Amino acid sequence: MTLIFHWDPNLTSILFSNLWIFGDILLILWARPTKKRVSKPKYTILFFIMGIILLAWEIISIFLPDIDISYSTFPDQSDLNMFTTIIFLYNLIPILLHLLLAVIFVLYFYNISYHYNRKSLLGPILFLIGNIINLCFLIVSYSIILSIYDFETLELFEILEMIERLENLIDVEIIVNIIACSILVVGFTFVFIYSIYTNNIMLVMFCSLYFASLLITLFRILNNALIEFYPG
Amino acid sequence: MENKERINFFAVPLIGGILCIYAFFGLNLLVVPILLAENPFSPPLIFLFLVFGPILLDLNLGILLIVSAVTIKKGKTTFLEERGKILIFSWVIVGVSLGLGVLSITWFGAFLFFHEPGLVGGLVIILGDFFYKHVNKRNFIFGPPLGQEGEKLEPSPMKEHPPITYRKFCTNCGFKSGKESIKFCPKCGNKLVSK
Repeated sequence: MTLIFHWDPNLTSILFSNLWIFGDILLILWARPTKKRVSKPKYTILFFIMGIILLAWEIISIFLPDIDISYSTFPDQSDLNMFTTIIFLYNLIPILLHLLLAVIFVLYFYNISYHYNRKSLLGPILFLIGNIINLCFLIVSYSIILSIYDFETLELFEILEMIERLENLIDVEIIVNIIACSILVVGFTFVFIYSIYTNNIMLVMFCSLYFASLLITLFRILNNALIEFYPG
Repeated sequence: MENKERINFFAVPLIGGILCIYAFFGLNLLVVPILLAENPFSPPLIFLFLVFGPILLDLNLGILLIVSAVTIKKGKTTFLEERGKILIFSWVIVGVSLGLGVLSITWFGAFLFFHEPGLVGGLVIILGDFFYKHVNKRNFIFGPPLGQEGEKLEPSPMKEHPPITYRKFCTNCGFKSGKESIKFCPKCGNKLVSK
């Protein structure tokens, strides 16, 4: 068994990542620290750095190679572990970035409008909770997968049991993803309202694009659930 | 101040229009080969029509939305004049793409992808307009509305401001404080006066 790295970008993914690159540039333009009329420059500098990181990740993720396994021989333990760790990193980095964005939103809202109105932290905290649920479930599921692949000490029927358990894990993952993503969407609607409230063009455009991306992920997860639970 | 129009509310229609255009540029390339591969000798024309019709509609309405957003930005029209048109376009886009989603559940067993950006763009415009209406109210979730650029904020007629006295000078020892007002003199303890 060997790992194969291949670069397979299609036009759709490149167009979509261009859309998110546009959004990150808008965030950077909003949070330029050179603007002097911003009242709280400390947190807008955090947004500026976050925008640069998100932009870098979007540009890198176009050129990242896909990874695959060829089953010419019986799977080896170390190769499988490497495969799962690479896929884990591919999934982990965007969730970590969104978690950081959520933390910066919470800090910003706490410093801007918490003292006037305590309801205003509701949206960013929901956004943070959704990201934390996603992160925790990602770590738990990949630790389960890494513990399952222990073929050398197992019999065949035990491997079949493990595969059944993996299928159950996929079902649980879809349900957890639906819950977490709907929490994210509900939380980010409040941030979207805030962006319209401040009436800043760049922030409104960034928030509407990010909201659109969250809605698109929600629809894709619902689509996957439909295929998984009601096939045919 | 409450019902004043915010001039630069063109950002949400612009993003919605861009998302509607993406349905044409990105995703028809994904769908047509699948349809042709499933039926290579007799591609059902009604499938192609039902896929391309809504995508072309999305493209057309998205271009119109972007044009109206640009005219709002340039100041030729206002958002309140264009609002009805924008809302009708986005409702049409959302309705058509939801109908296509229901049809594709019956055909393919899944809610398909190709009309997704148009659906999301229309939803974003409708939600943005809804929030835009509610943000101008008082006692909103983030507090009262913010003052806009170039807008004069008048003091409310119900309250009169109490007279503010800055106590600076000491009559006993001649102490003079800076900008801050202190009640008693730090040197001799005498009460300070303003003049």
